[in-house]
Amino acid sequence: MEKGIGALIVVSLVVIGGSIAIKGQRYDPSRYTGDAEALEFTREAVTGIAATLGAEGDLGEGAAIENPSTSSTPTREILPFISGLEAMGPTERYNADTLYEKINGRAPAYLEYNFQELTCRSFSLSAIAGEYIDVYLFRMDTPLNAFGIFSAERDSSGTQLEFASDGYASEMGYFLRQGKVYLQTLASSTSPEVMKMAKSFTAALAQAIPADDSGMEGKLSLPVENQVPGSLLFINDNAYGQASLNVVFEARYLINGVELTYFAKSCEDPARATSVWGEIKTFYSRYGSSVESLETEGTQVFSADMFGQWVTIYVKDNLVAGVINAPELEAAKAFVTGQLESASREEDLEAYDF
Amino acid sequence: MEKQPVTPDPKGMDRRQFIRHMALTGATSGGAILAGLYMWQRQHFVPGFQEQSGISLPSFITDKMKPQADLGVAHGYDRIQTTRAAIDALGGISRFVSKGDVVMLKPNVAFDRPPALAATTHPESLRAVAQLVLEAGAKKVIVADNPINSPAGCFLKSGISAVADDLGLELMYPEQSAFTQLQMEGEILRHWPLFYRPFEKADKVIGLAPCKDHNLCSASMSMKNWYGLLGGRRNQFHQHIHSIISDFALMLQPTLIVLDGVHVLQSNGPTGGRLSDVKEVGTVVAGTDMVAIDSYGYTNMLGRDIANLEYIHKAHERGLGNMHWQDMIVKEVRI
Repeated sequence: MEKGIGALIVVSLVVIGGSIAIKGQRYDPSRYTGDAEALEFTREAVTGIAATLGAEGDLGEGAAIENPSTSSTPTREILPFISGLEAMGPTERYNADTLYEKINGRAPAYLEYNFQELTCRSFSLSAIAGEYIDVYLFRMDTPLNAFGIFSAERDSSGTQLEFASDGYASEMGYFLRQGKVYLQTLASSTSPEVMKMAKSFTAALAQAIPADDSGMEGKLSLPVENQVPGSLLFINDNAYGQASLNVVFEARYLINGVELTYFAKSCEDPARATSVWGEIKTFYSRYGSSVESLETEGTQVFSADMFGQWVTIYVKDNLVAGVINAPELEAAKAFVTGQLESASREEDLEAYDF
Repeated sequence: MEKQPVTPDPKGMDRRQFIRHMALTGATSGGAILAGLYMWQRQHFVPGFQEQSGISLPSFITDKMKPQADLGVAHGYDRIQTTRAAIDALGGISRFVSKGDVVMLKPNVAFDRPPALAATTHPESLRAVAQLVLEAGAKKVIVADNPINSPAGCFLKSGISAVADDLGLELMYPEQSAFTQLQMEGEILRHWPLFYRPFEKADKVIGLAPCKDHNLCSASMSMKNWYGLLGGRRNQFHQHIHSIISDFALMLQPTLIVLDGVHVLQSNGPTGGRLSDVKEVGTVVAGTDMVAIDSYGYTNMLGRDIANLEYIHKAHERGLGNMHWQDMIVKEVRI
């Protein structure tokens, strides 16, 4: 009996060993080592189709470009049709999760401004072989954030566009902010013919994208006169090291040979504006010198010196604004006085005397 | 209690039998263990060990002739002439490529952008090196990259496919079947799909990278260029970008590296979009030490402080190259 059981065990071991050996010879790598999921991701990445949708169209929420309701309408009928341009491929769309597939390491810069969707497409010029135009429409969550990324990437040497207040021409493309959309039209070369076509396309798109400047009151309070072209900036947070100064617009001005930086922040109510102004004044009172202030007719102003650079900052209604880091106190005062006079012309406000 | 004498069981085994059975059992067990060890290949049997399988890349460094310098640096604005001069400063392409070689060229064609925006390897940079390689007698030149955007669009718009057509180079597209699992002991890169097919055919590998600003890692140069060979959702490595870039110096030992800084994307990288982002620097550097080349490029092409480039320090500390290019033999020429 024992011998029988022992023999059975030995035979079983031989059978098991043989089975393992045979199985090993029939090793199927795809079953055991192939990372099918990774390869599928690879396929998506290399073909670029992961986020490319068949549906064409919307440039922004509620954007109305000729026929926005028909998502299956060919792009030519939805995007502004420009004679002489031929689509080179399908419209591509990317969301916050897939933006890296289009712009890779640049994506985080857009995500910081609450990027929502990218719609892009390439068009070739029928008349000039090898030349093309790439159109990118980055839709952000608010006009403010669209302006934020637009100004962060701004070409300071760009030329102001006549058909978009937040727009400029660069040597090889056109860039503008309209509503929640940051539009880039990139030309394949600096050829005048290509740039002309790119400009026409950009102008048509700018007309089609809904205008929306909500939340940008601070920007509207920046004077246009004497503004250094390309100097307008949006600072989302912690402007000039002040925790209370978020959502700030800034521009540089050239006045009688002196360059001044002027900023504006629009608050939700006068109480909040006064609070922000007070925090800044407290900072300069603590760390600066030569602090002087004035309060008159609903406006409070202070000036201070910080390591040889002067600030003159005021609060009026919802607005906190002023000149920051000026080389001369008198220049800073004069600029702020001018702004207050301009804003209060109806009130016949006298020039401030600090 | 009186001790009783032990009497053997007439049906039991004697000492000799016991030893024989024990020896048989031991031999059977030992044989089974030895057979198991002989056949044991963990990846065959244990699904949890897949990461142990995969290829590693051989060294493509040639021991044909030692270069005359560690870095060949050429200054000029004609990209063809400047690139040639940088390689000549090392002693010429014949030190790296032999007659009959199959040579893989790896440009950075990540984006579908025109060459003027400097977001990709300039087609004239490819032309310069490909011509040199062909003049050295290469049997075939393969151009390979796995772009971020659609490969066809990237190769077309960057001007790379036009040069490939012109010179008869083989443009290898990153088809799904061209990927194989890489296995290495990197800091972050260990088991990942790699665009391997071009390596299967190549005798020599040359990297052709543009020098450019990068939003995440400050600069994209010759080490970062190899990122373009990875497949899968490679963006997940962005959170460890300095580690993975330094891993590329471990992953591959190329035959030659050329870093093009004739035009440098200085801002809004890696994509750029404006000519104002691009600065004419007029320098090409060639060599075999990626760490030294990138250190040179970061300092002299991008004009930045090398102390701030984390991946260079990582690679240097791991012994994958020498960031102190000033201590090396640098041959500098002007066109």
